[in-house]
Amino acid sequence: MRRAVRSRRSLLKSALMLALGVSAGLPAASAVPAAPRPRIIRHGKFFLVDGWVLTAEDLRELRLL
Amino acid sequence: MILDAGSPDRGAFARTFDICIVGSGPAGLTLARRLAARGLDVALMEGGGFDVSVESQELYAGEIVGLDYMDLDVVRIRVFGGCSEHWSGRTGVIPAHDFLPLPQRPMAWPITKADLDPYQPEASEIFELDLAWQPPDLALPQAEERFRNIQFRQSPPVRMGQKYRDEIAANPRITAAINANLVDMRLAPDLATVEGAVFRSYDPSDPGFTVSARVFALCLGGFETPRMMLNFNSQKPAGIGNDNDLVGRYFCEHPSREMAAAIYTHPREIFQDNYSPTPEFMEREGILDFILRVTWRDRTPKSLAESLKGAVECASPFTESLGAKIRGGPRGCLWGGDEEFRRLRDPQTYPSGTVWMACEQSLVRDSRVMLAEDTDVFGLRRMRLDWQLAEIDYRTMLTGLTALGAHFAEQDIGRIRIPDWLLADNPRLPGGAGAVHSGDWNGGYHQMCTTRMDDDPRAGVVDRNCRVHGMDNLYIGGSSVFGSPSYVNPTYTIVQLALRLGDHLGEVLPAGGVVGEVGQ
Repeated sequence: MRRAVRSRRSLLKSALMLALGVSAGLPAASAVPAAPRPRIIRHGKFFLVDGWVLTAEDLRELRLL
Repeated sequence: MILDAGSPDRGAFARTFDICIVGSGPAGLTLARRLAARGLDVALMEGGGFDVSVESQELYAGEIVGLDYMDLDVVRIRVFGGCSEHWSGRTGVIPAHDFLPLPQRPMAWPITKADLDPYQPEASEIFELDLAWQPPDLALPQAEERFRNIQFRQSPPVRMGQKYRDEIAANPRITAAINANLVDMRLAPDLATVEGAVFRSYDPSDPGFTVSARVFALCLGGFETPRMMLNFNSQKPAGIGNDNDLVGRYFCEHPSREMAAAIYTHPREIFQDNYSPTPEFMEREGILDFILRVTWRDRTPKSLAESLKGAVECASPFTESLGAKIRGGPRGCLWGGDEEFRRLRDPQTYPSGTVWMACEQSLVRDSRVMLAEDTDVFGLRRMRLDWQLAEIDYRTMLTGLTALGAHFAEQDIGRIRIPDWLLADNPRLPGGAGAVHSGDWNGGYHQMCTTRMDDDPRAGVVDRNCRVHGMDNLYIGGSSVFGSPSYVNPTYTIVQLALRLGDHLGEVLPAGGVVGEVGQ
């Protein structure tokens, strides 16, 4: 039910956090091991983070910037 | 008539034809029908039968070196109708800018799109397409001009051997044979004129028979055409048409595979988009052409097993983690059965998909078809394939995917992940040899450019009319003559070229004429 009221943006953010192994205020899934900080490659105004093409806003939300 | 080369009926070939066409795939069948309609006397020779057989397919076996490729005796089908008997039916027109030379594409076509455009209506009729002409691009809102949203057309798909078998059999201008395996070509003393083509059936004791014609056309595809030309070296040691060591070189595929995982911000109502770079984007980035097929997994899976095979959740650490988060359980692609699977795959709460990419390959001289030491049942040396890519090919992949990721983010469509292997310092397509149907293969069954078209004999095997440089009466039909490969599925272009070749030969081979030099 909680999932149903989440905004799309929130779902996307949490998905990216899980993918990148970062915590930005959301409770971590207990069974998910912590991952090292991902490698960030700047590509123009975008960023390649563990292969994901992300915006600067994404990185701020994920506390990677 | 269509006769069996192993039967006494083959006496029907004991005369001189206007043209002998070797190979009954999309190029050969189209050329035969075109020339017969002009009143010319056609011999149409097919090495396979009406159905797939082990003894026929086995002739395609060969060696693979260089990049992994699909098994050579599986990736093509050697039957009446050729590879139209197993193609997907996807058709498109090569865009005008893919015919032209660019700094990053120094070798291009000697002809333009306008030379092939007149053949769109007839090619579309052959493939039973709804529209005679290529439809326009779809609208694509974007913050920066990077992509076109192009449309392909879908043939049923037409199986040309099945569609035209009765017509060929009833055509009084065409004498066709199945199980007729080309084993040699005999040249006149000038070494510039083919006098006869020698064929054998599968009977080991068959001494073979010769077909004489004023003109010969090899329509055997991007692998067999160069293999035959290199093998026929009894009179010309380097092989026929190989004075400049070009036969078999510049082998191109459409490097292609599922390249990226995608998570979408919103569910989508469409099934698929096809993004291709604008000419301006290609020029600005110094890359080649490509197609990005963006798939939206917004449909109920057909079956659990089928869907699991390509499930996004097991495709990357990210999607696996996402599944774990939603389930509230541990990571790992362990499923709780069909009910759980369908809940997780609900596209309204979990919109996801994949990005499949196919690229125009650069022309690499050492990417080539050669001869192996091993021989087939007819004593002809088998094929050795050395497929190679260049730096620009990987840069095209990376640039295209990065631009798509930027477009997705700008338009709030979602995010995509570029695979690790492409981000490596020296990327190389992952292995996938033999995995023809696994989704992990690297090509499109498209073998091109091995006898490429160029006005300069030092750069191409055939001229703009598909005539082999240095030969008066030998022509080639099929994808081996492509000047460069574009990203477009090749079958439609193969038929356009065959229709054009038919018109050319119809002009230089007047019906009822005598044998003579064809010239230009």
